Amino acid sequence: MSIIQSKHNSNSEEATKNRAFNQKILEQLRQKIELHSKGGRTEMVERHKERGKLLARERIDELIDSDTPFLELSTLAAHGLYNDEVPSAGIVTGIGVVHGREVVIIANDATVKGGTYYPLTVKKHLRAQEIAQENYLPCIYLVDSGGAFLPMQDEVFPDREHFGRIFYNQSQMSAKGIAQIAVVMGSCTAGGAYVPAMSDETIIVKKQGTIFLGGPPLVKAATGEEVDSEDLGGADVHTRRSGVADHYALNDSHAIEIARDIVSNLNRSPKFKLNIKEPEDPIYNPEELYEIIPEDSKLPYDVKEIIARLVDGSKFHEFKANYGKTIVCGFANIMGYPIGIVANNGVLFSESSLKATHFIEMCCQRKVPLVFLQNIVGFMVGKDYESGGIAKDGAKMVMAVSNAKVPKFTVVIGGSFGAGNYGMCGRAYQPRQMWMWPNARISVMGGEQAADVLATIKQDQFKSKGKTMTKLEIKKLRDPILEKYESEGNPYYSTARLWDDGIIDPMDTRMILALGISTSLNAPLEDTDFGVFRM
Amino acid sequence: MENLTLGSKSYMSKLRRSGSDFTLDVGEENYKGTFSRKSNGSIQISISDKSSIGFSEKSGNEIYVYLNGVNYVIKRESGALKDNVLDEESGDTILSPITGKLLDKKLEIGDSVSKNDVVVILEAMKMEHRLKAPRDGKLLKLTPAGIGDQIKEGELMFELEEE
Amino acid sequence: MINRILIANRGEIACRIIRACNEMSIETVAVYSDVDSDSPHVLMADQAVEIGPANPSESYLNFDKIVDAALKTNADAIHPGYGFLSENGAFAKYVKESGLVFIGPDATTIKSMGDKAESKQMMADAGVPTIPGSDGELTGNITSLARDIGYPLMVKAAAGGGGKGMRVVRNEDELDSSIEAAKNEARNSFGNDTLILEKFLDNPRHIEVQILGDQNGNIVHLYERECSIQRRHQKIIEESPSPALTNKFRNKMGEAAVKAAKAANYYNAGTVEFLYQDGEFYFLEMNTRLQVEHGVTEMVCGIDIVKWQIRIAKGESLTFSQKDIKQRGHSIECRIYAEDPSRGFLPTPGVIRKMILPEGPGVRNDVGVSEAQEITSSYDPLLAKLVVWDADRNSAIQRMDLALSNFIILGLITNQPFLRDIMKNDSFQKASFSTNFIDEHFKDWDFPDIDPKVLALALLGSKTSQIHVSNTTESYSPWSNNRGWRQGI
Repeated sequence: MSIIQSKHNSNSEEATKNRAFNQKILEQLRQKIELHSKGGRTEMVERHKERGKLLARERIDELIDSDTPFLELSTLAAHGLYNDEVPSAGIVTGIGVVHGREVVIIANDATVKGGTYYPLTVKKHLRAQEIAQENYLPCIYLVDSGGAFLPMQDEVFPDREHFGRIFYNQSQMSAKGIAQIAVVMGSCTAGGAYVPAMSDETIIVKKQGTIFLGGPPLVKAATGEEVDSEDLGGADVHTRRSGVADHYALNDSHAIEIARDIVSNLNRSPKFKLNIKEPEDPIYNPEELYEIIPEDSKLPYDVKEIIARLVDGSKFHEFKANYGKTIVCGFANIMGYPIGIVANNGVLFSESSLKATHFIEMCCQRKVPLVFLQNIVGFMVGKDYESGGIAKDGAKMVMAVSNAKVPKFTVVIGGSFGAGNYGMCGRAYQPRQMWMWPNARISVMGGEQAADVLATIKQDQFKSKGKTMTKLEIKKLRDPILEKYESEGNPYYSTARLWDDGIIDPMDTRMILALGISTSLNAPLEDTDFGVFRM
Repeated sequence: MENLTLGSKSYMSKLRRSGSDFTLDVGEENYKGTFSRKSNGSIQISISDKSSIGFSEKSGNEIYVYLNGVNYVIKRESGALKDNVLDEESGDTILSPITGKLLDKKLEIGDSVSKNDVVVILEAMKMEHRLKAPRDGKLLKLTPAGIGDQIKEGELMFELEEE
Repeated sequence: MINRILIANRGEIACRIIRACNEMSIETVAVYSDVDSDSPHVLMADQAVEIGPANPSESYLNFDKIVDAALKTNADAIHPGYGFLSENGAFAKYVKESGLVFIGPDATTIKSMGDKAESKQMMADAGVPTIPGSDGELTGNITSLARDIGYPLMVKAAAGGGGKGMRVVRNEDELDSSIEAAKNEARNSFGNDTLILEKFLDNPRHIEVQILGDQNGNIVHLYERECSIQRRHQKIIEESPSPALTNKFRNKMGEAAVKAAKAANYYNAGTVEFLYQDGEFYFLEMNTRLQVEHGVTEMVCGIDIVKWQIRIAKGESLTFSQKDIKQRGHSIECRIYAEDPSRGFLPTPGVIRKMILPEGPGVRNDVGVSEAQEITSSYDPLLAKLVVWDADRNSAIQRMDLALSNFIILGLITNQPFLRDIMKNDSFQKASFSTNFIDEHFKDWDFPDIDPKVLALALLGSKTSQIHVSNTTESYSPWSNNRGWRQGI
């Protein structure tokens, strides 16, 4: 395989400018992650600790094999929402290893609104379960939650992808042989009681964990019976009498130890075998990514400079290098794992779409995981292109991406606009994981394009009435649109709403992709059947 | 909490880290320090500004450490109690766990008992059930039923005087 | 002519011999039991032959398998190293009869030196001082014989070694029961319950003299080694020269050793062991082989003993005489064992997960194990011999302590911390000790208190048990990254 020849110059003015910009936005990212990782308000955290309980992330650290990675999902969920009072949407989710085996961990953060479920908490919980289901990963629920956040019950309770879906998923996974393990470390009230009850194996912590359908106040209201929560649904009751829980733990650490024992006793089928090579670092320093990623996403650069800093040995076996050059396709390895890369290098034309379609088909045949590096303003528009059938060629690419059964991973490294998002495996196309760089932008079209489109339509209306718009009027029309697109296209807006699995430091991309691919091999790699390609 | 043992000595220790900083609790003592991992696999560690380079590897319940010229093999066990089987309820009042027949009363009210002394024997389903004293103490109450009498589940069998 | 040598041994001594052969351009054949297939001695040799299962009697002690391996590989000679078959006269004879050269003395010498009573008699006849005791088999009135020798005295198996079948008798009351017990033990250990009685020295030093003799009647000594630092009757620290001897006495002891060797018609390398107490020395036994601790003699005398063993076996004559041999500086050896000094020196098998050997001027490592090797309980738990040389004893002790402190070995308990404590011991530094040294100073030795830094390091340590190796099909996994990776950090 040939090594990508980089033309990057670290000493250029541009590199310096880009570095300063990227470091600035990275610092913002770090600050936000740090803030969210702290959990709830300080006094809540203190009170939680005083009770001898571990914080959600501490529980996870103890649960996973020591010093191993933890791939946290959507740390910045609910960022800027709910008055910023629900950091990480009150739940910590991610993938880690327990006794050498990848598991999905879903941990309520009781320091955030008592661990109650806001709409995005539900969404984040369901997303983690989806990852578990797609990748055949045992689920460990570290439960410490007051159930649904009642003031928002209409957005939490009734719909298909709402609270009930959690238990539906547990049932589906249990049926597939994906172990469901609950550790009750706090309250599990009402609907929440079904998390442990629906699990294959459940641990409950003495004097800390409670499970009941109705808490003491509700019992009093309903039947007049007065009972404290420990007698109503404590560890003793459930491990000795009701059988709702299986293991009695003395404290958080003990419960975690038991959960680890449970995982160590699970049977495990071997992972899907990829032809893994000896991992190599890229020849070019990945830190130079910061010098390459431009501040203005309109500025073109060669995406191969990015690939050179992500893949093993910077080695890339490029496919159709001279055809449809606005998309780059080729094979490479990331930390030893073989992958097929589809990366944008400009606007999509018919040729680029056909080339990508061909390449995706090939990866499916060969069972090679796909990595999409998304930086796309969209498909080319214009009379010639429409008549050339760009819509049907774009459709071929969307067809291929939709049906591809190999694990797909998407990283938005720049813009993600319009139908380009579809062809490049956006969220709707079920990539196993989807990540964003802090410089990314996502919206149906670029803000300026949208403003221009709207301004043109308005001007046409004026014209038809025989009037013209002043420059000021045009600016007044354009500015709010630009502002709206800027705020909604921002990656933090996206990640807050779980349109992705998180915003990542570009330097972490290699590691995250490798962890994702390794994880995906727990599920069998199915054969792909494509639909009808419009020819 | 982990219990680390070397030779005849044990240390209850807990380490929390954040980035390259850590805090270490050993018994009642508390230390703050920093560490960094070197490319040759060694770890540079400093507590109160004294820095040393060592090696440390874990396997199973053993940790192998080299620091300051000494090789250690440290055994570890998790601080959590391994035993998660509940002790039987051990209040001062002992109730009959079953419906059955009173077979024997070993003691009288006012007698001293030691923990695990058999106080009452019941028979049900052709099996004997021996009710034992949960702790040392004095017998405050004892079932008035006579030998051979029928006993119901939940009936008071005996009670110890408060400590 | 010797062009190819089979080394009937394993571990560090096999490696030591292979090195000597390499330097002399002699090809080497290693033998190994199935558990040793990846051991360093196998990897170092030009070729290697598997000779059976771990149990030594089916491999390293099996005459036929070893001689067959030598014949099959066209080896000319067999070097037995130490231990195993090195002092087995029958084996030496069998090798010779198979048309091969045995690198060591003649079979009859081995045999007579192997019998304690016979060797003692031979030495007494030659005028070498021996420990007063029964001459030969115990007969007649044992009680009066014991009175003649004087208490305390020692009962021991004539065919024994390694402390087995030995009993100290403090007074007459203990005599009968001790004899009975020693008899049983001797019968069980050696299949021969012949006993001897001798004076018991309660505070002796163990000092031995290295000798080297060719097949043409030339015998020299390479001075003495002080081997008093012992645990369970086995040496752990040796040095040369002995700090207890004056030059005059040193020469006297050397001459006695040469006399002893001549009496035994000795050729090749050998060692005459003496006990030394109150200005007197007594013949203890003669080891008809290379000693574990030969390295300290090589360091101070500048003579490669193993190479000379091979030259002598070839029939070459010594190229130096006694007056050419000088002791220069001071050398100390520490034996690094996989054993737990806090629990009676019990062997501690395990896997070597990391090993970094000390380096520097005057530091020599004789090592026969490597990283990732499993140390089993099948064999002697000797891991390495660390030898240092310096101009004088005090400098050598300091150099040894530094070298020990730089000896990194993770994965099993070793006596490394214990050896360091000995180096720091006042009596050791003042050279005031006897074979009772460890009992006197280190009876209740325990590992040092753990510094908080060590605890922190322990808790920070990474898992070596490659968590993915055992339970996935992946040869490599990013999940086994052991630095606790998190996003954005």
